[in-house]
Amino acid sequence: MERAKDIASIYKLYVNDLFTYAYYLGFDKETVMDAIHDIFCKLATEEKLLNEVENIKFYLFRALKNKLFDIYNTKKPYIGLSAVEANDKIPFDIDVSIEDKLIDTENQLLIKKQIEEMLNSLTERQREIIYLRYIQEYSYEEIAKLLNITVHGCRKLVSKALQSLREKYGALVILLLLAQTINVKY
Amino acid sequence: MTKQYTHYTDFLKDRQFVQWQLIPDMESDSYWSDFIQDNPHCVELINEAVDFLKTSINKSQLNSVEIEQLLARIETSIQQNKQKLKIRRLVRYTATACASIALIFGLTFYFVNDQSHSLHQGSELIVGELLNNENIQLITGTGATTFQNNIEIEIDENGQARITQENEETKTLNIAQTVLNKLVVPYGKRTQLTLADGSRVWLNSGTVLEFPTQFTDDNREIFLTQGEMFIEVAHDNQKTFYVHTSEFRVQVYGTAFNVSSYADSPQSVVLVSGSVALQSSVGIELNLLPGEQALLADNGTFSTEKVDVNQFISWKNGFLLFDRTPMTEVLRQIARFYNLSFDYENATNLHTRTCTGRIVLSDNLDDVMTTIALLSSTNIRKENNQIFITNNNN
Repeated sequence: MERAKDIASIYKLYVNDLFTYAYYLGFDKETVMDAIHDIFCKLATEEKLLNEVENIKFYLFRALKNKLFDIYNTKKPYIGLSAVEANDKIPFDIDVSIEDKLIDTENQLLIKKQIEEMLNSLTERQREIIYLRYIQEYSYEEIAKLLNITVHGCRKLVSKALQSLREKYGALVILLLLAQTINVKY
Repeated sequence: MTKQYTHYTDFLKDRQFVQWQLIPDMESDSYWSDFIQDNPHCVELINEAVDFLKTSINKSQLNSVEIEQLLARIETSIQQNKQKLKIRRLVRYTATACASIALIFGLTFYFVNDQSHSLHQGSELIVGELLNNENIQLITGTGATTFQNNIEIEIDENGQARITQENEETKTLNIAQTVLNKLVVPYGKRTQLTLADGSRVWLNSGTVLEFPTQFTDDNREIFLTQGEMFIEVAHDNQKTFYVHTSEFRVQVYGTAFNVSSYADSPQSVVLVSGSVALQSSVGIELNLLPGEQALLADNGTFSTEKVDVNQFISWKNGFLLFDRTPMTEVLRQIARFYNLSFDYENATNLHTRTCTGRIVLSDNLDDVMTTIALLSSTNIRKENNQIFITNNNN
């Protein structure tokens, strides 16, 4: 009984993060919930896991992703993609949801649109890395393991992401700085 | 220099700031640490902005009931795995969770397997046409208002409607309370509506809904004349909520459901969770269980079937899910959403094609058609306002 309690508190701590991550990977609610169910059952049955795993959150993310990959691959024949491609073909779409009653709708829409535009100018994998790093605060080493790529490749994707944002908004930043300098003079 | 940052939203509106948050590098790190040193009073605003940004891109789609329900399911499985007999408490726990759950009820288009087409071997071509877009109409006691883009309407207790059109400013409209209002959403458009009691309604393309400005009667009643909707009903013990279609009515015990009654498909209801009672115009009653679809037959009776509910409600979230769905049904749904017309009646060979997968209902019709082609192994070509679909001879 005590173990179940442990599972419950671990679950409550991470279920939202796990769900959101899987959801962004393009899986529907039902599938994600089934996958989360399965990984927690596994965690509970293998007592060693609970005691030995140092970083339980990372373990769960990794287990969930493997589970989802399996599900994706079993569905693959219908979509006609080869297993090699799977890693690149899985989407990663971040929902931007602005819900603050204190901000008026116009500003909400503006902020939402801007953040979406920035995220949309990146590739799926770049978005995934940024999400894992910024929101889940994983190290590049951990992210590389999750994405099954090298740490170097991971860093390279991030610098490319930065580069494409700069190409898109670079001019704007300069304008902004100019505007600020003018303000100071006044 | 700090003039422009008076509220934390000012930081969020600053692309440079958001970029620094998402992908920091040495350059932006040093810029912002200088900024913070020069403007220590902005630290609090920046913290607020960071919190806000993180929440807005990491918002879970699960509600607290679903979280509890899934935990109960996990715990049940764990107990079963261990073959202990302490399940009773959990079952009771699960049962209470179910009773308080959001109820989603979808009355949706359903594909009728029509074998009566003449077997036309040669014609393997479906021609689709882009139709002219009509405007959304809101007809009230005070008059009719039209909108070119998708809108969100929010009605408050005083009968004032706040209307937000896509990419435009919010307008306020006073609505008379004497007659039922009518909202007409043509094919190719969608609308979101918040009723006076706080219930939220999503209207799909090709939908007409009649609703009162305020619920002054003993019951809350709205009328779906045609089309499809998804609704989250605000809880009110005193006033039962009814949705009427031309053929039956739905009494809501839970909180959310989805309805459609398109002219070209039989009417049906899909319940995700919670409970609803159906009553057809000939007096047949049915209590629907979660995960079940009720189909209305011509003689006013219902038949029920287990279904994957996600396929019936995903339109609300901007995508469609298909699982070996006939091509004709896929095109039917796409046609409603984008206001197209397909002449698939004669293309018998294409009727046997099915589609499995997820189609994101993006603004770009070309992307959508490309996905359909991929999922159904057909060739799709678009020229001006016409779409040609042909067999893909592997």
